[in-house]
Amino acid sequence: MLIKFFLKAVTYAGLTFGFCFLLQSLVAPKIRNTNVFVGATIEKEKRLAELPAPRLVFVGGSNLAFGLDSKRIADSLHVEVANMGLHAGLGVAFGLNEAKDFIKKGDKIILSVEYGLTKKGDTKLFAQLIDINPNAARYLNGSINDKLRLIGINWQRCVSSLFFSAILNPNEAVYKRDGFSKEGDMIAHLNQPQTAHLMNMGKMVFRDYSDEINTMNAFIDYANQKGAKVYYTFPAYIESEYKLNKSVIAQYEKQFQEQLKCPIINTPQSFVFPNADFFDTAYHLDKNGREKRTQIMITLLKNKVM
Amino acid sequence: MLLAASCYFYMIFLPIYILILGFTIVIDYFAGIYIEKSEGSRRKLYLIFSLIANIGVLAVFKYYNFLNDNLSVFLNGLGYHNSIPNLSILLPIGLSFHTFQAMSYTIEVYRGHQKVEKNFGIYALYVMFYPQLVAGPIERPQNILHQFYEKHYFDYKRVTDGLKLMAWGMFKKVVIADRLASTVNRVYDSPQDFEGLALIIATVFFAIQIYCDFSGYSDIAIGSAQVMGFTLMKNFDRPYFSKSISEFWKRWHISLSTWFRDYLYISLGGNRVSQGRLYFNLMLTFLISGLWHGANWTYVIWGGLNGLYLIIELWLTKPLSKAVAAVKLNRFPFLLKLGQTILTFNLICLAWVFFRAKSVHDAFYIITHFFSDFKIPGLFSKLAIAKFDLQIIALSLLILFIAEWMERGKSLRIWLDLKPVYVRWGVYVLLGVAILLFGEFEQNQQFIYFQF
Repeated sequence: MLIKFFLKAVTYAGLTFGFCFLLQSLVAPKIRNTNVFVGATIEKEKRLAELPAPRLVFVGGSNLAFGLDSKRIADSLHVEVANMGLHAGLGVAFGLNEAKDFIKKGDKIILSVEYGLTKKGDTKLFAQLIDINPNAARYLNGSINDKLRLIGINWQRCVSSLFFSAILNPNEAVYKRDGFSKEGDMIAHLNQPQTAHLMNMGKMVFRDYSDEINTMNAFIDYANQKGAKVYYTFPAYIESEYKLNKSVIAQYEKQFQEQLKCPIINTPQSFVFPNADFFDTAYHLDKNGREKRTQIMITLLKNKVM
Repeated sequence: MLLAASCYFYMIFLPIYILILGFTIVIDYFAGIYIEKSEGSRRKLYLIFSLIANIGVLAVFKYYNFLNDNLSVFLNGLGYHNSIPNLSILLPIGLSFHTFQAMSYTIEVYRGHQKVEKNFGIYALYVMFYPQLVAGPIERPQNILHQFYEKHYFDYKRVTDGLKLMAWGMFKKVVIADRLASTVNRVYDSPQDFEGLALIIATVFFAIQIYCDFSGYSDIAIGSAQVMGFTLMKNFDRPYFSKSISEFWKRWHISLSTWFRDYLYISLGGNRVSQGRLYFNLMLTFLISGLWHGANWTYVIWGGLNGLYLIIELWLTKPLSKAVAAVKLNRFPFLLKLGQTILTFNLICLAWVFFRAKSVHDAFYIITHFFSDFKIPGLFSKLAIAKFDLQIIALSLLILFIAEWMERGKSLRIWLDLKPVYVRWGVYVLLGVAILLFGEFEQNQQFIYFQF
């Protein structure tokens, strides 16, 4: 009786999961947008793996992707640059785990995360990420349950596409994989006008950032062991929101100064830019803002890093 | 083995809280022994001691801050300041459930309906049996204690039946309840941002969410116990098909309703009292039932409102029957039943507003704005419901309705057993696929009743 039960249970599981896998294998290739924004991790990881050391590596969220001219930095400092900054929704841990895999002796790594960014990322974004870049699954810190959930979410994306043919916008002008330069900078937005409404974050609430700082410290220790050196810069930020959140940002700055194990090379205020220099959010600089920030970054790097 | 598994299950939440459970288990275990040994007033004394210990734990962990806050309001009104600090403690998971289960044991021993349990491990398992530890069903010792002594062999039919019930419960929880949750939370977290139709939709969604969430949990609990060879009591019986409030309370959270009936309502005299006293008994039972759910005036009002419904129902039953006969509405029994069911559902929904709202103020805002604005354009985008979600909600509710409609005669599992193998397997596989493909797995959704 027990054998009959197990045979039926296995058959049932096979039919149920088999149906889902079949659905994914039939539908996913038809709906998969290979130009999706997080797909840029493929080129970024490839570049970091192939680039010879010593390198200057930027690790963090989209404030780096939108706000740096890596080529200009490379030309000014005569060093190879890789900008790994991509999306705040991937969380703090993902970018660090990703960079960890490619650290080489002599690397200078510049961390920069958006204020209050959590360690854990957004599940839906991760599902999209592992669909386009399955290799990135090893950089996710989640439990087995979390990873199984991602598979489930991708099945659900396939079903939703049966109902709605377009779940991803193929006409996206900026947030796309091929919107990046070979150094890893977002460039698709450079000739775009500022969006009608900047997506602001509003009033921030301070939360204890120890968990995220501890994660960064573990990364710093690892990099040191590998013969690389890590530095931290506060992110580019919009002036109007900075004024609104000055005291909270000061609290974050204090906590970073007290707990982070690597040198901090700027103050939050040094990367605050007028609203006119932003493209679509409080962290995404436009062409003009990017130029200004790159210039300040070059000076900082010359004085404190190189 | 089962006891160890139950301890582990409970300790996943907050290990130290096992001591609270241990405290009440030890007290009630010895109280049971002494109650049986004693005669006359001493029996009562031991029972009272046990009840005070259990209610005391509830009072400290669940009601202390509520009482203290209300004391502050009262003293402030008199111009005094309350300097007693609030406690910053987490509510132990399922506290009200296992406390009530423990209390039913000592009461039953006191009443002579249950022999005392001398095996400490078995008694501890009675309180801690993990399928029903955190959210019921609240069992009676007569039903479950003897089962812990029985040998349980593998029984194919029993195990597969239990698994089918668990799968159905999972469907209700992850496909329906958790998908409705985001809309309900959005509206009830800041009701002042919404009006009219949005408030009605969120309230009806909550009525369905709480049913699918809690009955889904109960199905999983009963099913998992069944897999291991244990039979737990039924906790829900298609409550939204009820044609009156009294019928609803016979079908909703049956283990709690019968607990209050047997141990409070009947102890107060039940319905063998004067009419005034009967109304008082009903109201008191429902007010305490409301308070059982949570330390907030919203729950008390929710209980009170249900009590009021029942009192009005008692008043109106006879005149309404006469009126129905007079206008010959009883010639159309289907229409009559449909009307009664819709009316009952609406009254229950109205009461749910208090249950779900964060404050009494929010609840009154919602109720007073139900009919304030009926703009349909832009409604779903304001509620942040995608087309895909709407389709899943509509489809899954249709499945739920059909399944429950079919269950009015006999269990769906029995109905399915009589069908050819390809029909049965088709249904089972579709149920599994629906859970995987339409389940809401992104949010970290707790079961609503875990907080009680």
